[in-house]
Amino acid sequence: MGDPCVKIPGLVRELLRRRLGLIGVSIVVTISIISILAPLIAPYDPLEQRLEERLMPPSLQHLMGTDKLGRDVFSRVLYGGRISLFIALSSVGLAVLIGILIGLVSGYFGGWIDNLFMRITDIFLAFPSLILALAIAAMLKPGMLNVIMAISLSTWTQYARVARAITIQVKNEPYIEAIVSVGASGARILLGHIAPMVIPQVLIQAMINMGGAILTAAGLGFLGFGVPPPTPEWGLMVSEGRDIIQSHWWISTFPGLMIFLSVVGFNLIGDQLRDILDVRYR
Amino acid sequence: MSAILEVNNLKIYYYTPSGVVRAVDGVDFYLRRNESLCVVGESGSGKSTLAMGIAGLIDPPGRVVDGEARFKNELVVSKNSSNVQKYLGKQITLIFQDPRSALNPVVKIGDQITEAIMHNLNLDHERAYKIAYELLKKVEIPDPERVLNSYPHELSGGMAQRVVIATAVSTNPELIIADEPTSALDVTIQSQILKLLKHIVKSQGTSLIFITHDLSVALEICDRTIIMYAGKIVEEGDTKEIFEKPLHPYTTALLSSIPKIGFKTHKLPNIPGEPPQMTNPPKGCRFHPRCPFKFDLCDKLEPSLINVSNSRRVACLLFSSHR
Amino acid sequence: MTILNYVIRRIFYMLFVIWGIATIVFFITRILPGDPVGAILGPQAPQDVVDKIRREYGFDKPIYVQYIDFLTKIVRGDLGRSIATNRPVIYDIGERFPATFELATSALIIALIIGIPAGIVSALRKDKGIDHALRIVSLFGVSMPVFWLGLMLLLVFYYMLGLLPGPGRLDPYIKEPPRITGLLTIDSLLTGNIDAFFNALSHLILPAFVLGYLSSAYIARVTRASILETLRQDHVKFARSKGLPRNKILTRHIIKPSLIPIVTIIGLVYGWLLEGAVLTETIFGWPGLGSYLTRAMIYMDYDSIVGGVMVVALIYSVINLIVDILYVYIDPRIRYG
Repeated sequence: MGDPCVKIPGLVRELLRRRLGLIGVSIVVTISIISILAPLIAPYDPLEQRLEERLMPPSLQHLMGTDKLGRDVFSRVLYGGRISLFIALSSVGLAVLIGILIGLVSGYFGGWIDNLFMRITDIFLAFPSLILALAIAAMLKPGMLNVIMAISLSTWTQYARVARAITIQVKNEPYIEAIVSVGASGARILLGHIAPMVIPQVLIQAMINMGGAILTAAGLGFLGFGVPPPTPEWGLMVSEGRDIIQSHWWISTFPGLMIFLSVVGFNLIGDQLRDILDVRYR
Repeated sequence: MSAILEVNNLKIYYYTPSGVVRAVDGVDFYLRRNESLCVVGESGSGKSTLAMGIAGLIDPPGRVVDGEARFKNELVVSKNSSNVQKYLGKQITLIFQDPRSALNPVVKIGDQITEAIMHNLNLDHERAYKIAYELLKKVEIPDPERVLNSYPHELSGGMAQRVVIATAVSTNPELIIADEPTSALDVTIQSQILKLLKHIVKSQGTSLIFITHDLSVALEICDRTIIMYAGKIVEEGDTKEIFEKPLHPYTTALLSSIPKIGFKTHKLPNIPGEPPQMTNPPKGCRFHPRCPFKFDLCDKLEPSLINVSNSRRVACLLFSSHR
Repeated sequence: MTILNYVIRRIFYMLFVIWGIATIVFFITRILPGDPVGAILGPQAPQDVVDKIRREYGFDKPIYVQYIDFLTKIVRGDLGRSIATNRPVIYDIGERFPATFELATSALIIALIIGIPAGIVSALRKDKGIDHALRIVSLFGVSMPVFWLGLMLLLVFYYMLGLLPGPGRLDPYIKEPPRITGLLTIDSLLTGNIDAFFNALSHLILPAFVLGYLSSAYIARVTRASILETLRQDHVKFARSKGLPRNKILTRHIIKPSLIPIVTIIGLVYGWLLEGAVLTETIFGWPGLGSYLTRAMIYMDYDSIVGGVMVVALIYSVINLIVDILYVYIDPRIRYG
């Protein structure tokens, strides 16, 4: 595994130094800013229906056309960014939290606790994650919180693994033994010494997986198990235009394009991070 | 003098993102038939690059920038051409530092030896296998049959290196290039392997280039020695003579840093200072920042290798008329 | 431990995992809030019908009894009855599985044919033009939403250009071949129905390509990384120093040691194909396991959901098992380690 000590600022600097990393960061930052500023940029209210203007192709008034209910696709795409990114961010965040907690506890205490958690992890891993997320989301009522829970429950295992591995590695370092002998409590060691080593690594892993989280969220939205309509969510928007794709291509195309672009951005960052860490461990 | 290998002004540079590393910066020497030559230096001195360069195994971002190498008077390595491939595996073979990584982990030992024999000696599998068997006996492996059927990770370091040596010797080459073949082994095994190699080389009449960082090893196995520092040769001569009467300050420092058993050692003397930055080596003599005998010309003028006697060369201003 | 030992342990482990999944699935369906029967029948249903259904499905028994019932039924292969089709779930799944299998396998073949050579070429020509081009294509492949790509290709090739057929496995005017394997392509070949064969094949192209392209991206990336890792090893230099010919070095000393991560990813990819099937089958009107599962989830068809999820988990576990066993053959270090 190499040195578990990872310096975030140095990493970011190295990332920006590489051309592809810079491109990835630019894409992500741009999309994030656009999403945050959606209320200022969007020409229309994303929920406002103008039935006399429905199903219009892209034009100067409606940059990306209008959908079945006369809503401006461009505005919906902008607001959709907030929704989709928020879901992705939250689900990754929650997954990271669960993963770190379980990993820390599992790695630190070892024994039957470790065994138990590892078996549970294996069971979760035996599923393609989308299907698990789908099953969970389908069982719960549609809603933002439930989607986030579904996705995080299907992706926490990898973070638990990383957290556990580092915990075990750090736990066995001689200086930890030294601290224990002076009487430091378990909680102190966990929080004060092990967690700082674990958290950056897991966060990096999370960054690498952000693209996948967006795709999963969009997939759920597409199938109808994400946030319920009329909320503009990119995946949902793609499915809304599905049955009239042959005559009104813009309704599905643009939201899908946005999903694609944001995932490309995150994946570029993720790839570069992986390369950088790879080089370090040589 | 029948030189089997002649190297003239060979320069091999690496073009990396952080700068141009002048790993080998103008090296000349020759190697006679039946002779064992050691190349001694710290890591970063360019000794491994030199070995790989002669064998034509330098990969980008490294390349031969100038100079040439001639094998049996034929140009094999130069800036624009690389002809050495046709000799590789047959008349020129290599031994690597870490035998466990030099062997393919997913292929049986037997197959790894026989493939070389089959390709280079044009024999069928059965005959090649028999030869491999005999070779393993020759390198003192007690149970050749079992080893031939094993995978590399099942062997100890010493055994694995014997396998590598057997492979290198399989085609009865005229030149063996050995890149620190004992450095990755236990000290006790080291001398066994050294003895084995020496015996094989002498009995077959093979020329040997032996790379090492350890002068005492050089004493055991080599007739002549080259000392390299920062990409250049700083001293060359008969190994025993160099050991008894080192001329270049770097050589002296190297010798004194070898712990001698039986002598009272007060402190392990280290060579002061840091190895040079190969992207920007010191001006003048590259050793001057760490040299106890440095004088005012040393950081301005680069010393060239001059003949101090008919068997000794040194690159130090102390020995030139500039003094 | 011997290979047999390892295999047996691995199989037990797989059974344990499947049990774990069954348990989790059971509790998800039973513990979560909401009255399943009410959801299925709707608020209008008269109380006695609701009660009857409840008794029929065993929802009135205590949880632990339901759990035992559930497990015993699964072991017997009884996955319950679909509320939507009113047929045994096992039967429904059996009917739909070949469609997904045909799709996933075709996609995998495409993915391997594109992905592995792309990865090898990319690694060997690292940082040259072709490497950059291939890496961009791979990046796009792993970044594209599967359902969007499918939709876009359908739009272009079917609706706009009319080059390829639309949704469905077979055009309605083609006579469907008798069901031997359930794979339309194979069945039509076996019965000599050439029209059906080409028609089925043409319907297979778009969805298989969509899934295939996306998976080939993963495969290419892993292949490239694995080969670059191998090239860094000394044994490649040693092989070169033996004077061996280039292609021998390539196959035996570069590709063979790189196979291990590639085999893992193929296992993962097959699992991913099952996921992708869920998303693509809806778009292409493919009557397979994926669309069955989706429909079951929309209509809260409990037994179908449970059955479908269990089957998917089983398939995924079996694939992982096969991959782990293959490992042992490819990497001698594991055999004796």
